[in-house]
Amino acid sequence: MDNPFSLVRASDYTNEQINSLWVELGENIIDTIIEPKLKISKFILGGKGSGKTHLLRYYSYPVVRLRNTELSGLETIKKQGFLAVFLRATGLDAARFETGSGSNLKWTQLFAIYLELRLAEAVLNSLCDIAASSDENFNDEEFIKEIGDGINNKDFFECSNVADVREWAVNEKKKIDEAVNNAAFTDTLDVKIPFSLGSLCLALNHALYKWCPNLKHIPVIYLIDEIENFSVEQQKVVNTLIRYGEGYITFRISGRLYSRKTSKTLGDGEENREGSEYKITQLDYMLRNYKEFNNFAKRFISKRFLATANINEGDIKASFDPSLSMDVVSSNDYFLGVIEKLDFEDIEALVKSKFHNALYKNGKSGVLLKEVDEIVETLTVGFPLILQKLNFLIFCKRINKADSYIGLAHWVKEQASLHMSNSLDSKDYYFVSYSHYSYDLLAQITKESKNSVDFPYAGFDTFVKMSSGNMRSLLIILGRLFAIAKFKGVDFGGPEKLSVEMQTEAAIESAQFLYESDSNFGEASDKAREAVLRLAQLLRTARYALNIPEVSPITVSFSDSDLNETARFVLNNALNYSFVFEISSGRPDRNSQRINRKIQLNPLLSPKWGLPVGRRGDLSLNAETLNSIFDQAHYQEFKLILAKLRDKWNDPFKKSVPEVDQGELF
Amino acid sequence: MIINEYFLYYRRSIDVDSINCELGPFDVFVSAYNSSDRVRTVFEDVRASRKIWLMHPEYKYAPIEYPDNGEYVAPEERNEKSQVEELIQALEGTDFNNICIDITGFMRHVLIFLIAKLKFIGVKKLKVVYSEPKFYRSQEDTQFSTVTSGTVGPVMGMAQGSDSEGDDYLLLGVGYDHELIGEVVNNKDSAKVYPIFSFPSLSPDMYQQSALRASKSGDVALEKIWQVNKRFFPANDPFAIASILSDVVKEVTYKDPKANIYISPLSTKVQALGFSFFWLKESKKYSSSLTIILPQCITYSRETSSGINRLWEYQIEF
Repeated sequence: MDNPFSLVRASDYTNEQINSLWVELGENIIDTIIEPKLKISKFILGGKGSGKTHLLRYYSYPVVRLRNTELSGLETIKKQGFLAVFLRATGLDAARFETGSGSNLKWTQLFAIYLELRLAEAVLNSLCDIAASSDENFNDEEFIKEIGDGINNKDFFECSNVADVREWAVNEKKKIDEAVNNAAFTDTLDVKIPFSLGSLCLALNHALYKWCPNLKHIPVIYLIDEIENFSVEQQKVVNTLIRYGEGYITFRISGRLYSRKTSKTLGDGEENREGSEYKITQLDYMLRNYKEFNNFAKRFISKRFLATANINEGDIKASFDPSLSMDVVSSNDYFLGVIEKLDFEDIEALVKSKFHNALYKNGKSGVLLKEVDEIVETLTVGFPLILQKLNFLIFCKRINKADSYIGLAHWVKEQASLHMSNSLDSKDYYFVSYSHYSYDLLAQITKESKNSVDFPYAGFDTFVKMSSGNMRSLLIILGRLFAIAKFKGVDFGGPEKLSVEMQTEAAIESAQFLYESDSNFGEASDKAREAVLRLAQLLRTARYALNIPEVSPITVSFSDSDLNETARFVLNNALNYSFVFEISSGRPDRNSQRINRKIQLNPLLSPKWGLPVGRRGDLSLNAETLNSIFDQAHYQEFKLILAKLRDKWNDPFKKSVPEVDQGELF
Repeated sequence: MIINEYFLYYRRSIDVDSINCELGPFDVFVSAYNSSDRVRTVFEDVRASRKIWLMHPEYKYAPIEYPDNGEYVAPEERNEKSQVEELIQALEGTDFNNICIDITGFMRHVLIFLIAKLKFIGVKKLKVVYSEPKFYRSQEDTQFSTVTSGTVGPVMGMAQGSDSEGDDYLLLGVGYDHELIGEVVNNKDSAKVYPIFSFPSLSPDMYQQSALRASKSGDVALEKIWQVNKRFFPANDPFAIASILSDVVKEVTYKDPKANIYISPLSTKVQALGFSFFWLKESKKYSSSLTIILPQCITYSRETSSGINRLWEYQIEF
């Protein structure tokens, strides 16, 4: 059986597959994202794998046509209520309009004409199909006359129908291709521009009505994918078309989160304004908060699996629930199942010695070795390993409020005993602490084991959580898992569940893939990757500390005004390439009540550093720490800051840590 | 019997211990300077009336580091047109039919455009040499391009507009730079990919090393198509490379006459030469469009290899 979860790039989906894929999500949701009837243009922004290309293609004429095979092209458009055509920005190879000689303005103009010809060509392709599939009499003469008003090219006026116009557009495009090529050798850009900006692609809507009065209220929508591939000047061209086309021609443009390089238009550089000339939808955010994503994911995965499996073999059920194929991490008996598999020389001694040393070395003056021994004994004897660790942690957290060390130790012991006998209320401090910190403490135990077992990542729900609403991310993990299971001779979906170890291996490989292989976009992604490594180092230092500063540390918060220019640029790129996500709610600053920005590591990356996948607490970063993470120039400072934080979080009894702004750090 | 034209071009290996006997004399010898032994050895040993170093800005040599054993041309701009124009200007008055270019240290985009430009200005034939390394310094971890701008685009003058009704195809010359592969594939993520590996490679271990590196190229390397569409061509023969490329292009065009074919040589400089030569020979032959694309490098490693294994001479005839 082939890997049912192997990645399929957008290109590999046929128009038929695009239709079947989105059936699951439902047309209403797609309509909400694309808003085809909206009178202004719209940017649809999101990370890789968020489905931008599919969404745009879903509305393009050829795909719409396939959903309505019983209808003619004309009937399809009337039923749909709009005519949308799809263009991939990379298809223009726009870089060649950037590097030529001569004035930049001339190259930008040429790009604009070329873009219009491409858009018009796509519309004309659709019209040719509409004409061929319908008995209606189309008024080609009026169509040509309407467009001809803005065309200054004698070849155009030899056209007698839409097919000729299409041919003309193709030929004009070829002339530009040739002129651009020749300019590289001759230094002369020898091409006559056949029309001025907007005269072709913006005129098509009126021409459509003249061609076929039945299409009077049918708007034309240009769907442009991957706008980040256009330069600033080229995006100005698009912005200008958006501005001039308002009302009768609109655009739906997709790109990464920070793919928009300018909102200016050509000429006087007037800016398009959000809400006035365009709207923005952030697809990632929408999908991350899509409540039905878990069910959608389950159906999607099940469908993929069953489509690939030979269901006639009889060993595959007609329905398939991926969650039943995977073992999960059992938290029973304080993670006994996980801890039993670990190989320790003397873990208890190791755990104790860290706490013991910290307390003895830096504790209140006058803490005697004997007293320290008693505290350690009180907090550990008779408790499972994870509770021993939790007891130390709670001791660290409560030390400042305690009158006596011994008294605190006994209170913690009492609470731990009550927890073990299930006598605590779910709101009790100890109970809450256990539910918050248990996985962080388990991570520490796995790290401290002699055989360096990885912190476990397992279970379908965990993987869905890690995918953060991005189906491609889920496929990356499951694809790896399938391959590993196959290699080890275990059937995915067979009677034997996939072990936690196998799943963890798949999760780590997926994280490695995302970090190293999946985001190569040159200098910008390289710098973002380095910054994310530093961020992860900080989070890891927090999670594996004796006194874990925040529960499940995967998120940081900071004031936007603290970012220097470079750090802001790098952070934007980290968001762009989905290394991190922005949490839209933000977090109020404890002192000023100002809303801080909140950034979370992409949980798909978490296994690379043994970090959590769920978000709970966040580390508040001061300006110095923030810029040392996101600005490579401050790398040396970062090393220093990290060392100090490591010291502080592992030496909770130390009275002061110089040069660290504790107030702002937490 | 139909003879494959590409097999008729002249190529020979030169004994690396007798370069000064076997290679030249030339009116001009041009080489791109970097810190690899193989580039400097050939430059020193070759017989030529004039020897010119092309100082690519991507290597970031400061003037104080420039070699003093020949003339040099040091373009400031990175784009291929500027670099080639400065070089051609330095060659003014030369009989272009007796020049030799060592492509070993050349930046790919400059090399590809240079070959096209020489054809454009009427050069009929040209001698080209390439020295194979004994090994790459860090085996499969060798870093070639160090920083790229993130822009992937056509080599100037070597793009043909795509057909809106045709599908995109990407014929990828696979080398060690998995980041570059990733960049090109990401840029053409609508394309059906044909990875073409260098096999036989320059030395037996290099195929394994490049395959290892290429496996880190992102989602494309995980796809079935990476295996199904895999092709091979030798690493050190530009004519054989052009011939195989020609076969793949024919195959694609046969299946899809409106195909938009992008070719991207990311392996040896010989491969870049083969791609350029093929484009010049055949780009107007097909109904499909053919475009050479490359990621834009900002910096490039000065030294990636050790020693000279073999030295090759090729005669390019336009």
